Amino acid sequence: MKRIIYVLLGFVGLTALTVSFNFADLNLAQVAQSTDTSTASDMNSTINWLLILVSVLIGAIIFLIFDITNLTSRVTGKQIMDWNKISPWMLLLFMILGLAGAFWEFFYHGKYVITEEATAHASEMNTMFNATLFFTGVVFVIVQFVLFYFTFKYRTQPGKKAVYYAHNNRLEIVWTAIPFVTMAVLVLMGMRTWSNITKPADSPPEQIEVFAYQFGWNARYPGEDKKFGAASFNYISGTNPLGLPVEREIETLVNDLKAELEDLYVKVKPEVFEANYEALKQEMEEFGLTYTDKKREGLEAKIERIESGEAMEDLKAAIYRKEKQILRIDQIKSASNAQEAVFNGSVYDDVISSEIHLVQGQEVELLFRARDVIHSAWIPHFKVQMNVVPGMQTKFRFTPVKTTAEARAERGDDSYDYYMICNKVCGSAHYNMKIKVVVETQEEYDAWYQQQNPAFAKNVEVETPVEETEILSDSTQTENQDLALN
Amino acid sequence: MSTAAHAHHDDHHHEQSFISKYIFSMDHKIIARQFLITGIIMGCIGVFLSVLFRLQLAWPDTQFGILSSVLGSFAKDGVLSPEYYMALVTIHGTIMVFYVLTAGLSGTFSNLLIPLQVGARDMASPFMNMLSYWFFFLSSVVLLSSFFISTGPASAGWTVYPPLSALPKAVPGSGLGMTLWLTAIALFIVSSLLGGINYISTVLNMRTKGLSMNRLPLTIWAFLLTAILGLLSFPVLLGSALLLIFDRSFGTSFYLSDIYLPGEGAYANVGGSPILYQHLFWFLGHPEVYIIIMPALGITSEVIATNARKPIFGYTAMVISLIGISVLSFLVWGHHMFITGMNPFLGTMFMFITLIIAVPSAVKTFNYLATLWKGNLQFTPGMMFAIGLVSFFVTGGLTGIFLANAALDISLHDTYFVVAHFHLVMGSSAIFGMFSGIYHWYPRMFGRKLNPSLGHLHFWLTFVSAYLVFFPMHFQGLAGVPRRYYMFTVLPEFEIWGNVNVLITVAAIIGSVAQIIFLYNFFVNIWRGEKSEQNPWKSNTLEWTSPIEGIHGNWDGPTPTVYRGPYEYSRPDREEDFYPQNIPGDDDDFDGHSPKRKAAPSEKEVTPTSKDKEVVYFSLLKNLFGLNRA
Repeated sequence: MKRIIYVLLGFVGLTALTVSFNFADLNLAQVAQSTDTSTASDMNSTINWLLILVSVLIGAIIFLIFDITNLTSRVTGKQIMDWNKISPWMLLLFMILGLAGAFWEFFYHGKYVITEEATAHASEMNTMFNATLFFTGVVFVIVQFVLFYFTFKYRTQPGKKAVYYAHNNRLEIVWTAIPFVTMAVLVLMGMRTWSNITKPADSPPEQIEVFAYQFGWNARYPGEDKKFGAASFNYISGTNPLGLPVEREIETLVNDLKAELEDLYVKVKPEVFEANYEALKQEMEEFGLTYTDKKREGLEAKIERIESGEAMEDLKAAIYRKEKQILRIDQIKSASNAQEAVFNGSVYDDVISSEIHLVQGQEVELLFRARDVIHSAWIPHFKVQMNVVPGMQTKFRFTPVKTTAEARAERGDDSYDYYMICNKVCGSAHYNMKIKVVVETQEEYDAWYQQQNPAFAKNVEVETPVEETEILSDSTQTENQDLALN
Repeated sequence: MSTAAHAHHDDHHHEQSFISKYIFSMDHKIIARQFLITGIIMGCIGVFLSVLFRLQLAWPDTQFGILSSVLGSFAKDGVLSPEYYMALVTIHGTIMVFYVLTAGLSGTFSNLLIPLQVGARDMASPFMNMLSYWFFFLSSVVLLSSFFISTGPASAGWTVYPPLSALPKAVPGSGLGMTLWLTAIALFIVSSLLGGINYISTVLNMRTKGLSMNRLPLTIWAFLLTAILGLLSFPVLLGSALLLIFDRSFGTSFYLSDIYLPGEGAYANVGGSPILYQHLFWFLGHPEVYIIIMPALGITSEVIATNARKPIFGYTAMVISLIGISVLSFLVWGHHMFITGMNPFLGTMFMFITLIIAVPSAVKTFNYLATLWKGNLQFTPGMMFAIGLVSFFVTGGLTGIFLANAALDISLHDTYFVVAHFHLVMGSSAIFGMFSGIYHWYPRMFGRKLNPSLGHLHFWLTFVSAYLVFFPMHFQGLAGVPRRYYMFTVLPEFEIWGNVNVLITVAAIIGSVAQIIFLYNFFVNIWRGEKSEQNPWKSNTLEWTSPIEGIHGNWDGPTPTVYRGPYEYSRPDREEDFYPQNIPGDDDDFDGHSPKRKAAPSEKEVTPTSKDKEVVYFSLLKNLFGLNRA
């Protein structure tokens, strides 16, 4: 009886394994194809469903066997599955397979780990990482080995009694001291690495502002004067997406705001509001049934928002927002130092770009600014990451040492590029928010920079609307908006 | 069978209606079951959500027709929408962290074991205890209700960082869904505080005669310290949640400044700091991970000692390291924020303290190993899960050493490396602690036994699939793959992980389906299981001296007197390999390796828990809440 069950179990287990591997394989194939014709995918899905069914059945059989063995042992009083005998062997097997698997992973997937030293601080970080990996790796293997070896070695046996051994202070001191010393070494190394990366620069580095919004990035270069115009979220408008301190833009914005306010003041008047509500209801009564579902639902939602008071609240909130914005802009303008601090003209040579261009070997400081929510600027291959927080400037300083051309040559891929991606959840298209980072030699950089025009010319006549539309219709932005709408 | 199952109900001295006995019960054993079953249901939901988003990650382009019929507009054409993916991730995290691993784990076992193991007849305040469960229940309902609104549940990640969580225009989930999330969390905190106060006062005041603090089982030490952590940190989360509610609904600007959204324009909120929220959140958030893992470690100590038939090695060191972890856990929150632009010097301090917290954790691990050494290991399912916990705790704990290093965190922050780390060290570990506890104390809870073979099957499937799911994620993270991504198309390098994502998803599905075995075992054996003997694991602690069928007031006669520590297994001077705490004996704590301590408890030793005090409590309870006791 016992033997039959073991054989059966082994057989079922093997079948389950093969089936599950086939299942995984098939799906791998399906993913690999990705451009599957409908018939092929139909085939696949039928096979998948069959496999799922078979797996479920096999699972049910194993399950029943386990359940029945227990019932029989309850009735007969004999143990059919003696887990005290089976478990230690299984734990031992798990340790061998598990450690082997961990090593396999280490060498198989380990090669995808980013060890590239594309920035100056990367080598130091790699050293730190390897030191930590060494310590933890040794501890991992030893402790896992000891754990599973002990569970095997000290398995229960007939007539055995455990050794009564409750404590040993010397041993406790030893294994408090060893981790303490190890940690002390790692802490000291870590502090040195951290302070080397974050310490103040010896000489003022080149600065680039990185602007993050839902869902994209822009880079702003300070231009000849090495000074950024003092940007603010107060000035952001359709034609001034980064909120630069351009007086004529701000004037247009304030005028627009005032016009919108006038409009809102009318809408919020009780009689107008009520009339609007009546009109909507009338429309609903007259044409509601003739409308398409979508249109009718839209109308219904509008009416509901009025009835629940939300519409009124929104109008009032909008008025409050706009009044406050005008007030803030007025305050900035009327400040005694407004001319020196804000409208000093340093904005008129600022260049806005939809790519970040860096010079090889030149230290650069990225200044981060967010428009709406927290983003995180993450360049995996540079080991550079910093949160981008609205209302607070953050920065990260580093030196790129490898040009994009060199990286391409290394990979044998002519289209390879470094990217900065977003690494703090920021909304629906978070996963698709990127900006190209180009590292080049000084000459290449100069040549690129020559082609760039300042975002806003000082003189209205020489305004370059082409540049502005380019920023607005930035390809990733529209793409992401499409995605967000999906 | 069914008659046998109901037979013991008739033994009670006082008949209670079904509602006061099982629904609005004030008996800690019933409340423990309520917490456990609610926790299991929430756990099933949490795991199911994770399978949904794993499907998306493994097969981003495949259309699962069934999804569109279940989720409607959230999964048009059978593909999850990015917003709904975010909502799934958020609610999965919230459910697992708060509802399963805080309430389900700590709520269940603190309620079950604290009165039973300290020899008390019930909690200090059974009424508050009942409230604690019902606030938890209400909170669960509020959270789950957010699945049934048109804008979908909260979707800003389980940490709900503002401004994303504060601006309904930034993401649909920050509308009504976020309001419900915040309400649910506020209710949850109330529940947690009511429970916590109860646990602390019960442990400190209601220990039975002879049960001095140094004779407390390690489970009770863990629950006590967990409750203290919760009591100190949850109010801070309540505060931060309230400020967020103000920002969202009443126009304040605690967390908001300089925000512009298309269609809305520049917001009127200025002067706040989003980083302030993160400081407040992680001031709870970090102790929270210890609130999750410490009860699991306590349970493991008990289960390993019992099943190794050996005293837990270094009882004092275990207690000291628990206290050490508790104290340090309040000083390390900044390691979640290394790259928020905080002062580098502050980062240095947080790195230093975080790496130091590895020391008590290491001591605990070594003590577990030393407890196994030369033991007589009984491989019950509870023991298997405890061994699994130690293995996960080591694997996940070691990767914490990378993340605690501020310099390394620059390239690891918010990548899959972090996902792998915390799912192993506090996710899988704590879940295994919970399973270990369930298998170990199931006879204590329901008076019946679980099927051990199914328990082992459940263990192996869960153990192997958990490693298969989380181990490869380390490498993904080291290759720079960010977490919380809907699909990995942003960089061409990420495409090589397609196969790994499929493997992880398949393993996750196998692991989730394996939980059905557990559900079957758990629920069917409540009625059908074999009746358990009084002390099935031959354990020393007091819970096994109270009648196994579970009676009101726990003990028929006077509460037991304690004569020794909880882990006196395999003493050379005893024929049996266990020596229950309540059996009178000449000696106190026998120890072959150190001089004997004083014999027999004197009256002085038992000051905090004299009989008189207990009587006062019970008459108070009786008068206040009309509780009938045998």
